[in-house]
Amino acid sequence: MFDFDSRWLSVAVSVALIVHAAASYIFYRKYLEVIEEFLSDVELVKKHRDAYGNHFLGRRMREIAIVFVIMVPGMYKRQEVIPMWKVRRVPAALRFGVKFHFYSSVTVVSSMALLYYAQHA
Amino acid sequence: MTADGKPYIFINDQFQHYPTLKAQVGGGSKFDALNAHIRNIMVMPGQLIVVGDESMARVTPEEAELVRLAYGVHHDLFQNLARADGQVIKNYDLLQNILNYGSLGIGSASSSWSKHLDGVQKTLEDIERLYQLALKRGTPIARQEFINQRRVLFTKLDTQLEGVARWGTGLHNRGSIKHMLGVSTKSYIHTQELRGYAQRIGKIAKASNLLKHGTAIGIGLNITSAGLEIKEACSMGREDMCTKARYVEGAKLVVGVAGGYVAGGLGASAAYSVCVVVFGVPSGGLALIGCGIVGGLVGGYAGGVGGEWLGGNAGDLLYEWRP
Repeated sequence: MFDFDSRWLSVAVSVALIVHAAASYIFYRKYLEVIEEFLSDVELVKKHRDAYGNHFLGRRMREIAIVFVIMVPGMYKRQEVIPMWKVRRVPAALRFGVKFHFYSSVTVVSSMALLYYAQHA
Repeated sequence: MTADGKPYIFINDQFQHYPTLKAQVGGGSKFDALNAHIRNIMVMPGQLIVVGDESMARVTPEEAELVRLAYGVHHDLFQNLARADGQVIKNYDLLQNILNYGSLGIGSASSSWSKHLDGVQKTLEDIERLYQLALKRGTPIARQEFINQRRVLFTKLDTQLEGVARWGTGLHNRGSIKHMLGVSTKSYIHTQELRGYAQRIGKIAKASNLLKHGTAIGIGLNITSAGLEIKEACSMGREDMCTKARYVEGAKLVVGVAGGYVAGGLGASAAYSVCVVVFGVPSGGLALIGCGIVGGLVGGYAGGVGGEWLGGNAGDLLYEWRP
């Protein structure tokens, strides 16, 4: 019988979590303003930048806005209609980076929750 | 319980009579001497109880130090009117976790809040400047201009202080803005100052500053907590326990912070999207910050606790596999 220590899964998810947190921080530190510049036509992005400021972690609210503008611009239809051509001004590599970071955070947090549930159920 | 040997100290976790407590630990005359500050009164949760070496009548320097600590806590509890229902003691772990990890999640929102408070402060300063300017002039035209400008600034302040946005500003709802600020053109001319302005502005600056550093305080508490756990394990004199604590607590700290950071962001994103789509909350507004605070707090707390658990497992395994 194959004997597997489930704590190895904890190590794997922990490493993924740390790598993701660090990579995400570096990515947005470097590219948040760049992406906002490409989306300068979008009123909502400007409002977020002005309202939420530039503190160490305050930038995260702006990150969230960027993620949703790029991934689901239709979400804001009650506030502002954002046409796709405005979103496509952001280079494909940066759009991929934003999507990748979002899905990766969902994956890593879900893995953590599943693992926790499996060991405590 | 009061065995002959090293003196120790423990935290009382329930409201009880001193004689009951004494009987529980099997204390003698030295117990009375060491705990003189709580003798014959109801002992409150959170108070430190000193249990000395009963084989020695003399109070050792170590016991004296413990008494000094216990007296300090006793004094602080009375000073702060600690509640006797033990809620703080019972919920200490929960409070600590919320403070540690929740702060990571709400860091973004609180810094936005801090920016909002800065905005309120700026409006108050503009109002003060306007009053000063009105004094220097004084013609009827200038007066009309002053009233118009004041109306604009008061409307702006009113919007800034709508609903929950008033929190942390130190300004209370007492009817009109003029009444709330304690100002009128007449009183200003007589007193040459706006009543309590300096204090209000000072309070706002303080609140703003505290919120700005909320995340750093949360991470600092985490590091301190891990350091204390390691110190406690190492103070027992067993090398293996000390090394294990370093691995486990170190991993819990790193993974817990990362978990709080990632899940806090995700929680804030989820709450943000619900508020935008379902409630149609305007972008860049204060209500959206509220959504971010709630989502970030919940996500940050859950992620921090989950991350700590993961880190504990990982640290345990790494300790066993260490070279």
